Amino acid sequence: MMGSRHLDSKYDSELNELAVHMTRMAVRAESMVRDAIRSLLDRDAELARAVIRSDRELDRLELEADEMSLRLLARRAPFGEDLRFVTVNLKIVTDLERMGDLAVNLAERALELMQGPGLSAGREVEQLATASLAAVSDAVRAYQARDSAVARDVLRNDRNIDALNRGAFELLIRIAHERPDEFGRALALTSVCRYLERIADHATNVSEMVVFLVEAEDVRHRGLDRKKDEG
Amino acid sequence: MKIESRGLDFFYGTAQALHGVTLGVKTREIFALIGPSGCGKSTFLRCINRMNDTLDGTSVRGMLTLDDADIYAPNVDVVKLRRRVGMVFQKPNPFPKSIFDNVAYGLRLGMKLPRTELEGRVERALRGAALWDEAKDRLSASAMMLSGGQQQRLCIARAIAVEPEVLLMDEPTSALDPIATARLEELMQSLRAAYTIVIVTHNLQQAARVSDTTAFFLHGRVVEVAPTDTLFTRPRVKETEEYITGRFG
Repeated sequence: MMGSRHLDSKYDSELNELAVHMTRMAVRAESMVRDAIRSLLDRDAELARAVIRSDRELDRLELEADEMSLRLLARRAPFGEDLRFVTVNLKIVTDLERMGDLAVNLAERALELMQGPGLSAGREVEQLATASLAAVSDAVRAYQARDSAVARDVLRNDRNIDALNRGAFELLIRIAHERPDEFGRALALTSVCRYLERIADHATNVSEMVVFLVEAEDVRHRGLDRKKDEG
Repeated sequence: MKIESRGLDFFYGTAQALHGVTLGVKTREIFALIGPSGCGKSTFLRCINRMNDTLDGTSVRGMLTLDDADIYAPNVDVVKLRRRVGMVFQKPNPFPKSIFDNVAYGLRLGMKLPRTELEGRVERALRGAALWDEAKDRLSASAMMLSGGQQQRLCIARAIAVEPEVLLMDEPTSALDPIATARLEELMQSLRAAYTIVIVTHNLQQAARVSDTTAFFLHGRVVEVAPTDTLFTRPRVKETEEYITGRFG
């Protein structure tokens, strides 16, 4: 939060409580994504099942965050940065919760894929997974530190992730055509790529909200400006 | 601009209360003045209809115009100015007269209207102030019998009866309960179709709810003027942010 404190210290502690809660939720979503990816790459069934189990906890954190935000809106009628903080959280919780759902989807696919031999196109999928996880980690770090520069880096990087996804997807389709024995697994991996790309999209949404929170600038739906940003 | 202030200074004796106030109020907008006690917002408001002239030892420097005409020019007829720029105060201040006579008061000053026309204009003012339905059957009753919210709407009826162009409101709801406040705020929205409204309020939510533009005053200076939506979500100046979020400096 901002350096200065509110005249009403209880208001400070309520906002702080929400910030801590949101951070807990963001870190939990990030861990789910990381563990889901690890379960996929390391063929770790126990880890995949742990990711699936932990989704309930993330859902609970989402409901509590919404309740805290609504209470602050009703009781404090915040303005300025406080208003942006509360409304941004109402949006971010949805992205975090969706990240968790996609991590569960990833873990479920990982469990399926473990039944067969090692992955074709493993390197491409791993690159995409690494980039998506980096986007999530950076978005969470940007949110925690209120660092819009890091958030803008995530926005700039989104194109690279799209490109990695396209590359991996095309390769998998080719494999599915050329090697009938790998058809099922290649198809499952296209789903994996889609989940990873969507996870990165949610990280982008979170980053856009961080820019709005810190700079009071709405950068959503600003493809051209982002291109300009990239120079 | 309906009202324009450029580099306006105001002094109570030697104490300077306004420092170079520069802002513009557009025709038929609701313009809110906010800021902590003693910041100069009410002083500025009272400059617009020269209410401060009633105090000894005050002086003004700079430019303040209404429709591009200097409000403080030597040839300005202050009585005429105040007919164009009506005022509603913090506490409802009906005269100890009937409801009808309160509204007719300004109309009778310097005007000789036939009874039917007078009645028509009183009715129009009471309707404009959303008080007609409650008052039409007791126009000869004392205004002091009305509730606080009704009294404040009566004061608005009295102000608009003389058909001003601008309404100045100095914390008009601070003595009212939430329901009467809501009614008055609703009334302001309908009044903006015909009048330019400048309101001083300590209630930030009220400024956010009713106004189109907000100016934040601090220590007699305008810190920031912006569309209300922007000022309450994305203020540009740190002092504004600190004031609206209730933070220490």
